[in-house]
Formats: sequence, structure tokens, C-alpha cells
Amino acid sequence: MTHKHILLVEDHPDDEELTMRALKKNNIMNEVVVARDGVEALEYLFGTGAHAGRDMNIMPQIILLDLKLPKVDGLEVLRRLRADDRTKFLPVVVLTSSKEEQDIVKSYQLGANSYVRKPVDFQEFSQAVQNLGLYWLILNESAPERVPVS
Amino acid sequence: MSDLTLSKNAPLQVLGFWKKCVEKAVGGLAVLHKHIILVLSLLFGLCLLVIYLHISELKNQMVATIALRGADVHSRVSSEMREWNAIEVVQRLHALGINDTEPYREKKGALPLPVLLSRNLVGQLFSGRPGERVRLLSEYPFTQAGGPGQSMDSFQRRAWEYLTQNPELSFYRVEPVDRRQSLRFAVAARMQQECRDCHNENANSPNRNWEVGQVGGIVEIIYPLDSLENITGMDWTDSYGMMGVLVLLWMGGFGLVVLKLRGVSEELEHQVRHRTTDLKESNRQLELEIYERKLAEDTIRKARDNLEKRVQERTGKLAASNAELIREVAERKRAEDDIRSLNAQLVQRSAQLEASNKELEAFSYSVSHDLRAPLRGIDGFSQAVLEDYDEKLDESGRSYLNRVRAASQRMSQLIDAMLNLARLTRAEIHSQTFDMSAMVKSILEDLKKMEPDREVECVVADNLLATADPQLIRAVLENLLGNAWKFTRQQPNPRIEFGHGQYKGQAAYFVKDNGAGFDMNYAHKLFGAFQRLHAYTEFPGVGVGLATVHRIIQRHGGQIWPEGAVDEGATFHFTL
Repeated sequence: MTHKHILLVEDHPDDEELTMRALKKNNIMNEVVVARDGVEALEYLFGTGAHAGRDMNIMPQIILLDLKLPKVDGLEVLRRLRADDRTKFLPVVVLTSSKEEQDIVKSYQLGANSYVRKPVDFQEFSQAVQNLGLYWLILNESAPERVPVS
Repeated sequence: MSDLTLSKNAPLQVLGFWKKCVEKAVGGLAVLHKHIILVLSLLFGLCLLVIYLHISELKNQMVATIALRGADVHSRVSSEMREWNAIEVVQRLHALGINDTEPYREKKGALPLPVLLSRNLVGQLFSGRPGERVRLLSEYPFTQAGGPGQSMDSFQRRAWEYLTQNPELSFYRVEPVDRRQSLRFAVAARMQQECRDCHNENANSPNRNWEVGQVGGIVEIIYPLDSLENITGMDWTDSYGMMGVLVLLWMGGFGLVVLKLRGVSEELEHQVRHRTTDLKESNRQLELEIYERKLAEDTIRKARDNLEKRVQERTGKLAASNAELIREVAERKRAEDDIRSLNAQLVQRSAQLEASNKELEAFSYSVSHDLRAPLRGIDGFSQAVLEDYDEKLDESGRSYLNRVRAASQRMSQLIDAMLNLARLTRAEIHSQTFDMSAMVKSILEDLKKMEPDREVECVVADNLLATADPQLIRAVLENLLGNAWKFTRQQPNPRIEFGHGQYKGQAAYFVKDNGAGFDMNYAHKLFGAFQRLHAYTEFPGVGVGLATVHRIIQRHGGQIWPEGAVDEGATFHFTL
């Protein structure tokens, strides 16, 4: 698992597939870890449950977070993530179907770095994924990996 | 008849007479009272006169009494002298042979007759007192005695007659003698035993039949009263003088009293006049006051009457308005009950609405997330097939897949439009004043940027301000201008105008174009959601734009009216 891997939090297999396809089509070869609900995402990020014992020094370069998720929804995942020192500086892009105002506002309130609505047109979707990859994986400089525990 | 009437009227006539008398007396008394000083003076004079007369009478009586007393004394002296002489002297002398005869002076040894002796004695007493005399009278005078011729006057005759009847008494009168007021006094000279014998025996006796006790003659004594008055005269002068002094003193006192009284009276009169003037003045004042009071009372009465009337009117009105009020209160109560029940209904409705709003929100949220995901799948995998299996697909296969993709994309647009409409329905309005002209210009700029090749004449009125929610109004203008932009596409000289003017009597904004226009028969369908008047291929669109516009204008309390004709452009007038 490379350092610059992607965590895709997505419950819908079609969207997962289409996202993976868009990444591939845009030559984004970074490893993608898929969490299919909020709980799984949190277990992965905090090295618990199914992901217990995972090397916690390795954190995703970018988290693509869907909002509507089974068990624990995306906003709750974001809240807990930002509440923990280990994960509070991780770049989170909310990638979801809705552009409901309440979703957008809450996401930013909880510390999302970006909010992107998934276009229905796949070509547009692909373009968006390409832009995201280019920006977050290449242009953007992440916070230091080791964040001292306060 | 007439007698009866008279007799009947008689008491009345008497009464009337007395009444008249009393009235006259009262009138007279009044006159007397008026001239009281004169009356008093007259009365005083009268009193004086009475006193004077009384004193005079008293004096006369006194004088007469003195005279009478004197005459009585003298007559007694004469009688006693005569009798004593006849008894004591003549008898003895007769024994001695000496007779009494007349004229004794001429006869030797003769004595005077007793009668003449006594007369002469008294006459001797009267000597030196002029007017006082004594006389002897008889029906049988002794002529040899030198007696008078004996012719009697009326007094003497009456005295004779009286005394012959009453020889014990005396007879007197006061009458003038020789022009002098005098007392004439007469007593009888009766025949004694001794005297009778002589008289009956004497040859010269004119009567020889004398009896003892018979009245032989009368002795008359005359006293002039003025000589007596002279004796007391001085006293009377004193008395009259004193009386005169008293009168003067009294008159002086009376005069002083009168003067004093007159002074007092004048003072009183002056005071009375002064008081009368004062009284008149105060009377006048009082009258004036009374008049003013009357006026004031009249005014007060009128005011009171007026007030009472007004009070009655007011009371009436109050009663009426009270009834009205009671009715109104009842109505209000009913209305309040209605309102309460309506309020309860409203609260219920509100709750229902809130619930349905929440449901709608949840629905929208759900639609937003879940309806789009499948469409993404449809589009995405169609694209994947087109890309990955391009060599296995023929032209019509590729075309169908492309149409699947187009359909899914339109579906996505519909969903977005629907969500937008739902969002506008429940969005809160934040009003502020902003420049609508500037907003229109900015939207038209955006439209031009999207289609830089099109030449559209845009006319925008400047400085049109509006007070509304700018975001929502922007949506309205985007829709209206977007439509104008869209429907003028086939117009060779497209023109879009934004302005402000009067429409149906109201100040309204308008967006006007010279595009395809519409049939006014379908105007009512323009604002329905998903209603379209043009074919999608002619003018693409989802049919939610005007519904959104209508909704926003409605929520601002405004109105929107479409105006147009086919191929003659459309105008949308709206108020906020």
C-alpha cells in the first residue's frame, strides 16, 4: 500500500465501478481502498474492527466520501474524522449525488475540503474525477503524516 | 212696602253714618297729629283761659262770700241792737215814763225808735265807706219816723215776698247799684212782743194789727264789691303775675323743647332722607341684583333644561349603544370562538403542513440522492459499452445507446428542476432593496457569453430598484430572460426589453421579446409545472421555469400576467 492511496467511501457498486473506471480512464493509478459503509470507513481510518492492526502510519492521500451511507452516514464519518488528531488534517472531498444546500453547508461546517456533485453524464463525471486526481494527488501538498498527539 | 224697606235699611244707614263719623274723626286726628304744636298751643291757651276764668270766679265768690259775711254780721248787729233796745232799754224807760218816739231830738225825754236806732247805728258803721248803705223797708212805713216814700224796686219786692215766706232766712243778689257791682243783702225784721204792743198802741202806727213774729219790714244792706276787691286786689295781681311768669317760663321751655325737637326732627329728617337715599340706592342695587339674578336663574334654568335634555338624549344614546355593545360583545365572543376554533384548525393545519413540509424535504433529499444514482449508472454504463464494445456495435446500436444516455441526462435535468421548484416552495424570503436593472444586465451578459455568436438587441431601463429576495428574483429573471433568449432564436432581429410601466392599472415590471410568442388560449397553462407549449425539438426545456417564476412571484405577494400571440413575441408583466 503506497502512501498516496485513495480511500473511496461508496456503498453503491455501480458508482464504485464508474468511479474506478473514471480513475483508470484518467490514468490515475494510485491504489484505491473502498469502504462500503461509514463503519467500515471509520474502522479503516482508526485501525479497528476488520482493519485492526493496520499500519496506522499509512493514511490515504485523499478521501472521496459519499454522504448517503448505510449504518453511519458520510457527515458523521467526517465529524469523527475531524475530531481525531490522527485524521483531522486528511483531505476529504465530498462526492455525492445531491447538491442539497443543507448537505453542502454541513459538509463545510464539519471541515470538508471540497464538495463535488457527481454528474449524471459520465463524461462530465470522468472529467470531474480527473480534475480531483490532478489537484488532490499531484498539486495539493498534504499535512505532515505524523501529527504529534497533543 | 217703602216703609218696610226703610225700616230694613235703617240700621245700615246708621252704621254708615257712624262709619263716616269715625272716618272723619280719624281724618281729624290725622290733621291734629300733623299740626301737633299748634294744637298743643291752643290746648295750653284754653287751659290758661279756663284757669283764668276759674280764678276769676273764685275771686268773685270769695268777694261775694266776704261781702255776704259782712252783710250778715251787720244785719245781726242791727237785729240784736234793735231787739235788745226794744226789750232792755225801751221797756225800762217806758216804766220810767220815757217813750220812744220820733223825732226824738225835737221832743224832750224822748228816745229813738229801736228800728231807726239800729239802722242809724249800722249807717254810722258805714260812714266813710262810700257806697255801703243800709235801708229799712216795709209795707207799712213809719211816716213820722221820717222813712222814705217806700217805693220798692224789683229786688226789694222779691226780697219782701221771699222773706215774708221765710223770715228765718236771708235773701241776696249781686247786681249793679249806681253802676257799681254790689251785693244786695236782705233779712227780715220780725215783730217782738214788746214791739207789737207799742206798734199796735201807737196812734201814728200805720198798722195796729201786728202779731208777734210777723215780718214788720226788711233790712237791706248794700256792699259795693269793688271796694272789697280793692282790699284783696294786690294778691290777685301777684297771682296773675306769677301765672304770667309761669306762662312765659312754660312757653320758653316749650319753645326750647320745640326748637330742640325741631332740631332733632330735622336731624332725623336729614338722616331719614339720607337713609332713604341710601335705601333707594340699595333698593335700586337690589332690583338690579334681582334682575341679574333672575337673568342668571333663567340662564341656569335654561342650561339645566338643556343639560337635562342632553342627559336624556345621552342616556338614550348610551342605552342604545349599550345594547349595541352587548350585541357586539356577543358577536365578538362568537367571532372569538370562531377565531379560536379557526386558530385550533390553523394550528392543526400548520402542524400538518409542517409535517408534510418535512415529508417533502425528506422526499426531496431522497430524490436528490437516490433518483440520480441509477441515472448515473445508466449513463455511465451506456458510455462504457460505447467505449469498450465499440467494434461490436453497429451504427444503430451506438445510436440507441446514445439515446439512452440523452434520456437519462434529461431525466436528471427534470429531477433537478423539480427539486429546485420544491426548494423554492419552502425557501425563506430575505428581502432587501437592490438594482434590478443591473441584475437584468448581468444575466443578459451571461446569456451572451453562453452564445457569443448570437446578435440580440437588449433594451434595459436603468435604475429600476426593487425590494425583494435578490436570489429568488434572480431565478425569476434568469427564467424569463432565458425564455426570451431561447424563443427569439428563430427571429432574424431578436429583441429583448426589460422595463417598468402601467399594466392593468398597476405599476409593473415587464420582460418583452419579439420571439415565437404563444397562443393566448393556452396562457393559463403557462405557469403549470412540466407544461410546455412548444415541441422539445423546437425549443428544448423541462417546463418548470415559468412554474418556478410564478411560485416566486406568488411568494412575494405579487402577480404575473402573460401577454402574447403566436409569432408576435411574448411579454411578461409582473409586480412584487
